[in-house]
Amino acid sequence: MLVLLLVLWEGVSRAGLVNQFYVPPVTKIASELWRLMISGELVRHLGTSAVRFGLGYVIAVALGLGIGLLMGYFRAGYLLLEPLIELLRPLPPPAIIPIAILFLGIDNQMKVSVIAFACFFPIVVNTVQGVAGVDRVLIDTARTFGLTTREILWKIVLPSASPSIVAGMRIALAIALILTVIAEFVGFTDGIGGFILDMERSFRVPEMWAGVFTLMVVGYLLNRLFVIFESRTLAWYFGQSRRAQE
Amino acid sequence: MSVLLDVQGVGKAFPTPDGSSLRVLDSISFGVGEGEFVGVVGPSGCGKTTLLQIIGGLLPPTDGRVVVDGRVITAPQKQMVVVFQQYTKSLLPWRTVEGNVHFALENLPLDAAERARRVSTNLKTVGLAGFERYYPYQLSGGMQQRVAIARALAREPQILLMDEPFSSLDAMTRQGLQDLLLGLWREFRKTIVFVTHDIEEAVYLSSSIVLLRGRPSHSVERFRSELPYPRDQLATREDPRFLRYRRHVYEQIGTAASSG
Repeated sequence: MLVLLLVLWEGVSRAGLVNQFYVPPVTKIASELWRLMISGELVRHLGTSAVRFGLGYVIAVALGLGIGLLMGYFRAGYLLLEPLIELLRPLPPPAIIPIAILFLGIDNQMKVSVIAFACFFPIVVNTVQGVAGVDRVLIDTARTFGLTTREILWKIVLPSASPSIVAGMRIALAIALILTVIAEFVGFTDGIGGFILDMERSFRVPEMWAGVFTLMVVGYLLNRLFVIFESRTLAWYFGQSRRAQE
Repeated sequence: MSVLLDVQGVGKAFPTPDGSSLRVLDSISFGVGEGEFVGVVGPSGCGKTTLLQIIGGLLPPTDGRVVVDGRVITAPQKQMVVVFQQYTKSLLPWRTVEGNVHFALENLPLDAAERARRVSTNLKTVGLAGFERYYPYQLSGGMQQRVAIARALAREPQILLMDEPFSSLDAMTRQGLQDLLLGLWREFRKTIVFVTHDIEEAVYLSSSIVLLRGRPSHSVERFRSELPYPRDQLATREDPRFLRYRRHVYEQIGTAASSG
């Protein structure tokens, strides 16, 4: 199916059914992609993006987990932070880019912060939900064995809430990629998003397409990686669900 | 026989949504001697679980106190372990059978070898040798509760507090576990407080029975059972004394249940 589509694209473009300048043949794009890979230009941009993406995502996971645990487990934490989070959450994350530029400039700080900001919400919300769903009996079990609150959070609450947390992390992963590209459109200098916009503006259309294809592959690979991570960490949960359905 | 665990005038009231309070337990008193198997029987919803949680230090009493070995209980104690009714919720689903038993030992000052030894011997004791690598969801209900028992035993507590541990099991499995528990009790000389609404179960297992009734519940009676050990699912249950105790408890609790 995929091959068929690519062949169709190639044919349509070569036959001149569409403007060949805007939609170059696939082979042309592929050769550009190859050239950019060899020259290291694309790899450099990808590397820059990966650092921002990774940093923003990791910060969001750390903050989302920490704050989510506090809010989910301690009533006071919930009452204190819930209004703030509910107020900020509906904001479309790209809307904070101008604010971030104002305070942090257009460089990495701004980009990483924006990614972290956007990814934080699905993680914190899912963590709170997961923690609230931890069974009372499980916590009492830990208490009867004399576990401290910290041990209970770490050994009981976190793993017990992990299916919900991982679901939030998965949503955040997609958001991180979106925000990486959007943030890089600002001051389009480097990163894969910057590269794509730069190529478009300088009418190097095959290169632009090459960038878009690369992004597609990266997104796909990230998702596959996450599925592996998910099946590793949640093997017990999937096994349990399968059993419950039988 | 010296009193190991003393429940002294324990009462408990919970706040209700409308601002008043609901009293569940009222001045409950009884003592448990070392090595006794005390069955606490009361109708469903009489606050037995609440009482057990208070004894286990999981819940503070509104009034009265629980004294174990001369110390007033305010938090869970090393020498006591609660075994819960809902074994499916009490086991850690992300840990294997041995992982679950190991869990109970992780905050005790033991070396790795001793932990491993306790895990394997206690799993063997409850008849689960060979199931170490299974996850809870791969086991039957009876086996899951065995894991919970092995886990409790692994801490080598002096006192086991059991909250209707067999009530969600089918009759055959329940009888098997009752006999397993009696065997463990006699072998390891544990002190057991066993809460149940099942009159026959209480009479079958216990060396002493405490009756709760009324709303709020209070302890109405405590008596020693003359049924000899070892007990047998057929012979004991046909013993005239078994029938007499059963009738007596039923009359005490049955009247409370119908009038309350």
